[in-house]
Amino acid sequence: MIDDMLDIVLDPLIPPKNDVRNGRANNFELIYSEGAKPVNQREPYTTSPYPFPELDPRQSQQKIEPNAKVARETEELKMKIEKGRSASVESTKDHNFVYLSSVEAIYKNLYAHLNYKSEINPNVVGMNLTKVLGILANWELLSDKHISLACKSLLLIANSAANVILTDQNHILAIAKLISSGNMKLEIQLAAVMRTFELLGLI
Amino acid sequence: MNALNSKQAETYWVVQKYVERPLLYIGRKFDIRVWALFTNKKEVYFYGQGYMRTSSDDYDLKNKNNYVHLTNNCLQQFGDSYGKHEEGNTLSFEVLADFMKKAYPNLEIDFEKHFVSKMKNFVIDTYLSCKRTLNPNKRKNVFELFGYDFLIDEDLRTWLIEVLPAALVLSSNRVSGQYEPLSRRSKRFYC
Repeated sequence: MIDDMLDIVLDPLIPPKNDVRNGRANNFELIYSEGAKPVNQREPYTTSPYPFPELDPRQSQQKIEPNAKVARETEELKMKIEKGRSASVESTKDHNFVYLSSVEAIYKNLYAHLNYKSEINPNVVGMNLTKVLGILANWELLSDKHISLACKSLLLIANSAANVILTDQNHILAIAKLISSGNMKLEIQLAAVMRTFELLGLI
Repeated sequence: MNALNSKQAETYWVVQKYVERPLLYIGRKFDIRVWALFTNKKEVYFYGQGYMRTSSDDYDLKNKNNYVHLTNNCLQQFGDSYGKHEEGNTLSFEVLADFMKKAYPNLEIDFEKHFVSKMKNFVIDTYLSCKRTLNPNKRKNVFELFGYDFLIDEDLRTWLIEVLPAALVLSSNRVSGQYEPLSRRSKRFYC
């Protein structure tokens, strides 16, 4: 209503001769002010634009694919590894299959998330980073192609806006293990070292 | 692209995503109009007594008819179906809030909390984005009233469509005139 607006912009300067408000509240609400009494009703920028998480396509995507598939495969992989590495050649093939599909899925997932999403979800990146580090620790089960893919995943995170995730203590320890491991493949150590340098802002 | 080619060089453009899957009101597209007042005291006021504007025809992404996609009253009033569903193609927030509760019975929809708060975010963001260019001559005691148009999609996400200076948003029909701040004359006198 025009009376509400005049009440704010004109009445303080030129008080009206008559009272037309009759005690009625002003429908203009102060939502932001840089005056003596600052007001800011802006929600935190981390608040989701979707008011209901169940309708957030990003959330539902995580629940369905490809992360659910990766998580399932990783769990299967862990169980197989726990059963012992001295398994038969046939068993090693199974390990390889799960590893290979996991590495590819992780890389694709990371690539899509870091390049095509308007908002980077640190939980998604952190989860995939943990998986990459876990997989690289067992590099003997991977082919050269997939070692390269895992290293690329690592560098993808290091070069992204989400590289602050690397400062997580668990991740730093895992990287240190990769670098210091005596039998670790040179390519993996190199990727880990580069990532550490990037983390420190040296390159 | 032909439209782009016909424009002069070094002109400004806004490229805006088209929201393909808007929330529909009984099968038709709608948008929301609210108001914001900026003052020279670096204050931003939100006028929450907004209204919704509906289109006249059922929504279909493949249908290229503007009367399906554009809810502006200045366009809709010339359509054959204008006023067929709602007087002046205009409805109050109360109707919208009731509709949403019925459309999403499993969600505890609070119109103020889930939608108005998002609109306020956009108003503050737009103010912050342009506050340095407002009032360039540093005049005292100035203000400006803006009309904000929003759209809600089927995931209940609020989108800002456009911001209009008040000069362009005076009452366009009797129903919307009930809500628009400048469409009523004040009964107060000052001298």
